[in-house]
Amino acid sequence: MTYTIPTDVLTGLPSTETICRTNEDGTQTYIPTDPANSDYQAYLASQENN
Amino acid sequence: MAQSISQEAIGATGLPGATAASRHAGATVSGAPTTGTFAVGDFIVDQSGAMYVCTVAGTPGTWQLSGVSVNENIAGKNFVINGGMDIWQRGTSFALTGYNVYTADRWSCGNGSGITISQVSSGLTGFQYAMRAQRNSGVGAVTSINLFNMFETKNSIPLAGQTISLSFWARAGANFSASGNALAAQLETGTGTDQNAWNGYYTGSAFPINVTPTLTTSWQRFSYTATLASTTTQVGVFFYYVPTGTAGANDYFDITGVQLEIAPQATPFSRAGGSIGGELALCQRYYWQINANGVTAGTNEVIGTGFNYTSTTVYIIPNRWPVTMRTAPSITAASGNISLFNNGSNYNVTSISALYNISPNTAIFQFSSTGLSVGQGTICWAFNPIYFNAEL
Repeated sequence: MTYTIPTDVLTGLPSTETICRTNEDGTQTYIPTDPANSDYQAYLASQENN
Repeated sequence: MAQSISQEAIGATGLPGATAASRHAGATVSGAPTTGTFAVGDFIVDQSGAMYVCTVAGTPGTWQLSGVSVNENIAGKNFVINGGMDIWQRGTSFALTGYNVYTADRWSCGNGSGITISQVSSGLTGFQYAMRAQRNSGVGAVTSINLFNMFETKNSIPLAGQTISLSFWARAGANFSASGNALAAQLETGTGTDQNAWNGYYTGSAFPINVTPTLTTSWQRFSYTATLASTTTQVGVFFYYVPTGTAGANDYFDITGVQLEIAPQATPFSRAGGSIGGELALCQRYYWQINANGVTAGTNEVIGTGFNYTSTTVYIIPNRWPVTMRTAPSITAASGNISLFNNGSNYNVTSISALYNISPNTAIFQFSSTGLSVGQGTICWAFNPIYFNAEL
């Protein structure tokens, strides 16, 4: 799995509200930057480990 | 020898304000008495728990149903969402390859490969389905096979300090390989917030119920009672078995009717939501999908309507989610076509370009295409599922 930060089309800046995760099967999961979202928690944990 | 029980009169000399006499006139198997002579105020309790009071004296007189037996099918009594294994939005059979794999709604399973979790007809009165946790025939791995149902903190706090009863129905397959045919059943509590037990024990972990009932190939109902600590903020119900040897064709256990209630003893099973619609709504707080189970894959289901922001960019705003979710959900589109219909033409796109304003209630979908008419309205269909996940 890899994570990217999509560009906000409206502002042209990196999104502050969504993380995009590319999954092993090629699909993409859009993850809100909500501290209660378990996928966002996993993203934060992965950043701590990097 | 027949037992004779006389009517017991209760005089009007009891508490202040109780001025009329009454008699407990015994019991009936069912309903008001049909024979005998009774006075006003006589009352009986039938064997279903209903109570009748004589309101007009006579033989047998006129009787009023004044209390009914408790209706055990009550929404909210059971804290285990989908304990009856009714809701399977993600599918009905899962070949596990790891852990924390959601199968039936709210049931997260693991732990390894060579394991199949599936929906089966229960054949048990009152239950349409059961969950089958099976080690596949010929598999030699002996990693434990686990079923977790983890409650969010908001649903755990009402259990703090309470005497609770955990009950469930279970049976084994003919080749169930657990030592002693033992199924492990645990109630784990903790003091954290919305933790996932697959990441380790709950903070402040305790196991007020930790038992290993012996299964047979026939359905049995098991029940256990405990009192939870007043500091409890997390509760989870866990079942597992550790297989041995090489799996035969029927190395499995089936389970359904899982109930956790505030009660000193188990009562008849009730869905957490009280009905199939209520149960689905409770499940969708954590997960739902467009083009869901029950809608044939490859057919389409509307995502929503929106407008063409540019000739290459469309914003689609779906209807609000079926229910407010536990948190803003992660959103995944399965591979396959999404179709935009604009100005008399279909435009196929293969993925979501971006998502904005994801909330527990809705979001804005962005798709990219070419040749769109700027400013016009567009309808969007999904030909394959889109998943919305707010599980713990």
